[in-house]
Amino acid sequence: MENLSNNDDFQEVTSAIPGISVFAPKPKVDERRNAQTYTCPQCGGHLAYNLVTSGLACQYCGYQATVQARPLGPVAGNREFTVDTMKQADQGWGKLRNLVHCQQCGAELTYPQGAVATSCPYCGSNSVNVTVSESNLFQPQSLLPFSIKPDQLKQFTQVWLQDGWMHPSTLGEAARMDKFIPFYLPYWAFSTDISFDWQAEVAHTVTDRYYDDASKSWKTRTRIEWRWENGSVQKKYTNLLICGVNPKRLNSNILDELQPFDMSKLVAFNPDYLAGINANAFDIDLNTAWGEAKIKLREAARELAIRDASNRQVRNLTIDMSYADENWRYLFLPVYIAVYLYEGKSYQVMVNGQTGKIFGQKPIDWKKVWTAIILALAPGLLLMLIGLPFILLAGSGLGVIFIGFILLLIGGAIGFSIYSKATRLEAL
Amino acid sequence: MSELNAANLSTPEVREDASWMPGAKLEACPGCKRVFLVPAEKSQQLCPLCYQANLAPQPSYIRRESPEIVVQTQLNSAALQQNLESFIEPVPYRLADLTVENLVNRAQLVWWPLWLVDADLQGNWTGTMGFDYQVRTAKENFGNGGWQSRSTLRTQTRYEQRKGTLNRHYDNIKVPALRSHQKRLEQIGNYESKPSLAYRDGILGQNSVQIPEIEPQELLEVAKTHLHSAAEQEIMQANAAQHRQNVKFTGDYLNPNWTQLLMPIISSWYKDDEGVTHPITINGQSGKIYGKPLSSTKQASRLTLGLLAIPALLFLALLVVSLVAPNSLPVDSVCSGVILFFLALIALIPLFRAHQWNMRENKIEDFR
Repeated sequence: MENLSNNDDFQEVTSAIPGISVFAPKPKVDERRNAQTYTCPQCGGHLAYNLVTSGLACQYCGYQATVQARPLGPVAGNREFTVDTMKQADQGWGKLRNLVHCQQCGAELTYPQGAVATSCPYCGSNSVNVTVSESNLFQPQSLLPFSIKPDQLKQFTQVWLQDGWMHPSTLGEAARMDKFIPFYLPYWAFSTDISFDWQAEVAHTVTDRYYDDASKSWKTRTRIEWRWENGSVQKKYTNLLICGVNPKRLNSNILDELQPFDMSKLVAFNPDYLAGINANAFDIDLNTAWGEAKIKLREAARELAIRDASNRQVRNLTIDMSYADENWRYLFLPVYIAVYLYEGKSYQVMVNGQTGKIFGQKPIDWKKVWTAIILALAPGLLLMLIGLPFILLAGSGLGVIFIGFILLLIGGAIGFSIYSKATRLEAL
Repeated sequence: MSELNAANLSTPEVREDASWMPGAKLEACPGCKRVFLVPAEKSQQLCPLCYQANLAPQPSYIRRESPEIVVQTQLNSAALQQNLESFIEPVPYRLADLTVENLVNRAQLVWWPLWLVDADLQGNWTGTMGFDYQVRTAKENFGNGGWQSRSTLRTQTRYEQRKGTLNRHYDNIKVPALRSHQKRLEQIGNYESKPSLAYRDGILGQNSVQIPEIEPQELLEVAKTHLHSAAEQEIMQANAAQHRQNVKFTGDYLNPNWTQLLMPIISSWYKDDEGVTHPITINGQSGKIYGKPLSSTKQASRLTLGLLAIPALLFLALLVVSLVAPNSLPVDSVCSGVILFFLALIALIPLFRAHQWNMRENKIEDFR
């Protein structure tokens, strides 16, 4: 009999039956990520992650070190919604560990609530502490490194500021956007399969002939006939992203516009990436985020059911939906955040740190908007005004009024669309 | 410490009797080739399982040791009668010999064997264990313009590699003693190990005992497989797992001990129209019956002939009337011909039904 003893891979665990020993794989080392302070090994200066060189760099002596990147697949490290996980998620973060001993100067640092990277106010050294929660379960397992260099941002910004006619013409020159802050934002990424059966009454246009007693002739008419239809739909969703930052702190509408992120470029979490870069842990817990994701999934299911029907016009729609293979990941995604002032008011702008997609708040020049709306309505109104005297005086000109009416309707639709877009952009 | 191998097995002796059943002799059926240990009073009678030939003395391999365990029969006379009634009740045009009374009167108990092997397993094992766990999920319903969500739990299985050592004793692991063991269980159903009694003199009554067809020497690998299965089950329990895959044991099967378990069969018989004997076999524990309850084609033929007489007589009557007074026929000739034809067809139903029933029953395999 081979003598089994605790070795590198296996360790003895409790057996429920005497005479049978059980060895199980050793659990993965619970990486308690202690706070890490970044100091230069050459000069003792402060090391920080350099977005230009994509490595650690000392701003004093020029020392550079590469950051070990361990690529992960787009769905690696997924976790399930086990009862234990959900219990922990329900209990929140547990005891916060936000007191860190600065290894450089010995100061006791208190991290701002939720922050996972900071600089010591006494010696300026950068430190990273993701162990703000007692539970390792809710520590980031992966992140997307910044691909966009800070020097590219000025160009993106200028193009973006000058884009769109609804904004003030002087925006490009007047708006000052000097400092983009690189930020690692916490995201929950959800993946699931949904499957559902749907049933609905679907509208079918039917043309039939009937005998009209009044005109004593056969005529055709079209009517809507509602027919019951049903179907089954299955769909897989991967990496449905919900930002873990409280929408009161960061504009969620802008964040949504920054997507997509290329999740195939995810790397295993390494605190080196966060040295000297702002990063926050999540404010929105797993349960809340999954709730938000489910709202999106329900809407998607409703849309899929309608698309599955033979006609989009449906009524009495019912759906019975279930989830399978649901899992989640907690990860950091790169975003540049900037605020600019225009005529005394501040506006928030964000750039996807991986793709360079930029989106944010821009002031609306309502004079331009109203002018455009009036111009859209003008042709129709003018034609109707021209046609009206002809009708009153000569009894003709009905055609002109009719064309004017049609143009007014078209103008109204265009005007409404312009107004909606302007209010939506202003509400960002 | 002896190992489970052929060298450590006692060679079975060719004998004419067994010391543990005084007065009984070894006899074989020339028809089905089964060998029985038969009490003196039943010697050289019809084979108690196939009823095709009389048993004849035949020295055979037999172990000196008595069986270890005897499964008790739980079937009382009333239950047996009720089961037989249900068994023959659907038979159309039942044979005169196929009655509950006859079957009960002819019923006899026969014991059939199963090897029991005990052994110590010592060695190492590896395998993949499956552990059930629950995940929180939801069922969503959309209707009346809104969504209703209901939280539920779903059970999933996580598989993990495990290994360890095994040092356990296994008792009474069942190993087939007949080549037709599995087939027989399919025919008359399984036996529960309990209620059972330890063998003692006289416990088998004056009933025949079927002798194992396969000796332990031939069953070493089969025994190891069965012991391995028992160990696998315990390894899974030791892991507190709910599922197992690819469990492998490398080690020794020590201190083997082979004994027998005897299980009860109640057998009976009936004769068909041609005088051929057909056995009926009953699981002595559960009462499940196996056999072919045939129809009497003679009886069905008689009924068919009786029924055919009606259209024949009518035909003759119509023929006579048409000859004597052609104009006084109540129906025309075509109509009457059709009616007579259908009456003749109806008359064939009993014969057809009995034939179909027997065709179906004859497809049933003989008792193994």
